[in-house]
Amino acid sequence: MTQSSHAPCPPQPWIDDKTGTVSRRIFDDEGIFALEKARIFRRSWLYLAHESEIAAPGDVVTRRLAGDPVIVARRDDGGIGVYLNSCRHRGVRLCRVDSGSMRRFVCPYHGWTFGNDGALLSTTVDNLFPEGTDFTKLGLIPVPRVATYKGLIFGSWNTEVGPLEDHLGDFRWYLDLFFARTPGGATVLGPPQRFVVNADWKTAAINFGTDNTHIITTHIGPLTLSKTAFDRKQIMGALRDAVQVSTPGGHSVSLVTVPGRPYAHYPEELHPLYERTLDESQRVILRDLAIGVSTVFPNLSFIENIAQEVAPGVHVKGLLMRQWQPVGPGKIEVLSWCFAEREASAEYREAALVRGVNDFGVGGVFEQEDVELWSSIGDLSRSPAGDGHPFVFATALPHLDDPVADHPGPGRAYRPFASEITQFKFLQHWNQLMTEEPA
Amino acid sequence: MTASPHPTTAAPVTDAEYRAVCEFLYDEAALLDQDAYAAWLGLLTADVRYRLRARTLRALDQAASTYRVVDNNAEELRIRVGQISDPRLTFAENPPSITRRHLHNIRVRAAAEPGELHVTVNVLLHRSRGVEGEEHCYSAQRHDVLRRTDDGYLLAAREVVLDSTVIKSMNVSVLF
Repeated sequence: MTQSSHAPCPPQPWIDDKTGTVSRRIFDDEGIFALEKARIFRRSWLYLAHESEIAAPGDVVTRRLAGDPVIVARRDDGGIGVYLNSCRHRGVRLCRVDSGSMRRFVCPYHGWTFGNDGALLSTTVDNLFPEGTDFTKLGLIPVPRVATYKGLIFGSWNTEVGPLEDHLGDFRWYLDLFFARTPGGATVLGPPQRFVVNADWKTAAINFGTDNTHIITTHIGPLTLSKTAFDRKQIMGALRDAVQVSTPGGHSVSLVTVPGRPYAHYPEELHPLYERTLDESQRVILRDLAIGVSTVFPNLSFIENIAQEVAPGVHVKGLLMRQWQPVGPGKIEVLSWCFAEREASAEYREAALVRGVNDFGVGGVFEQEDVELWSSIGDLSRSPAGDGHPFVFATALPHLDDPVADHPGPGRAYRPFASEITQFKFLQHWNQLMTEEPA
Repeated sequence: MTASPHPTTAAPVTDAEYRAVCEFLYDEAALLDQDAYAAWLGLLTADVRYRLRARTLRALDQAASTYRVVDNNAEELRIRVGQISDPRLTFAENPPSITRRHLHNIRVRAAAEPGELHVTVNVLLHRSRGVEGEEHCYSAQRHDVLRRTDDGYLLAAREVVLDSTVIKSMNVSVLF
């Protein structure tokens, strides 16, 4: 696909590696949005759901893949099927709920019926079709590539996309640290929040992957008032030592550690499971982990926030995943899930859910502040008045080619924590995909 | 969950009590409309719980579900209020949203707990914010527990269920 088939894009360069600057116009523009859909969202692996959302045969959730409504189904054979949520006959939406249990998809218009393997079972008028009609060719339109990594389900419309393992690459090491650190892995704690933010998906993605400078300014409220596990001095010290890590493919994570009692703010009964499941280099991180925040390219982010003291001596951390679904230029629908270890007690899971939603998501005292600021950017980045006055990520430059040597995980780790390195690398990767003519 | 967690089979309260409850609710809503948070906190019991949820879409014959948005105990509710009422600690509510709470369909029943009342209220919360005058209107049902004390009623619990599956505002930094 060429650029000429879209609305015109704002003038290049969008990213200037030499000055560490980024065009303002890429954050709310119809041409950019259309090109992103073609070059990134219709070509990449994208997150769809977690296996724990569709645990039993017949379970379904409805999601979007590169803007297209899809059904994510647990098939009768235990596999995962992902289909365009549209009847093969005349296009009517087949699954008209957020989630549920259904072994068959019956079109409400003319009664075409499909199995959860996508096969057409009946048109109700099979006898009226011409002789020799091959009904096996009239099944649901499948998402051609579906794969999972330790419970995380991804799909791609791109038949040529490389293996999911290659897309995630070294970043799997970090995903394990949060979503597969016990033998049973993670489980969702209920359906996702859904809310609409007038912000570009990249603004959200780079905030999580990772804008480490905004923490103290934007989140001064909860950092001042909430009963976090560490005092301000400890947090400031930890932020000085923390690393931001970038792995090939635009993924990144920031890790804040505070040495002390191992796994100090994780449930006691899970400590032996972490020891058993993770390798020693991962355990070194998790034992002291205070905050982890990340973006998996392009639009999946997660955060395990600083523990809060919810009762005397009792600390709980929220683990949240969120997807920034682009719904138009400068506009996203956010899906936000809370997670906990499958082996965690019912009490802990409840506490982790409460912790998660009170801090993050549409009602969270941290995130309610982020979205206010993100959503004020769009109007101001659209104007040609900003041409020649790009956004500034210059703090990325001094250390961009200077990773630190003392980080035990894969990828390139950087300090200072507050420099804009991983954000800029995310945008450099974006720029590469957007400007290279696809093969 | 769609059904009211409050029993509707219990006998209605007396006219005098119903009227007193309504006046309490209107006065309380007026305090929130005016961002008079210090006075509003004075209407809460020490063990108050404040919860907010929204809906998910399920088939007619399948159990409805919700997702949680806020689940504050008394201390966390006070922290939330402390944040949105301090100009040094919030951007979401500084400048503050302009809000108006409209309360309807008020049903009051005696609770099993002596001295407590179950109150179900339909709420429209209109919110205007930002220099562009962005407006949001939330429709919700509220399930309140009021406790009678020597100083009048206090709010012991509030559970808000938004009548939405997708929340069309970026945050819910206002109280219902």
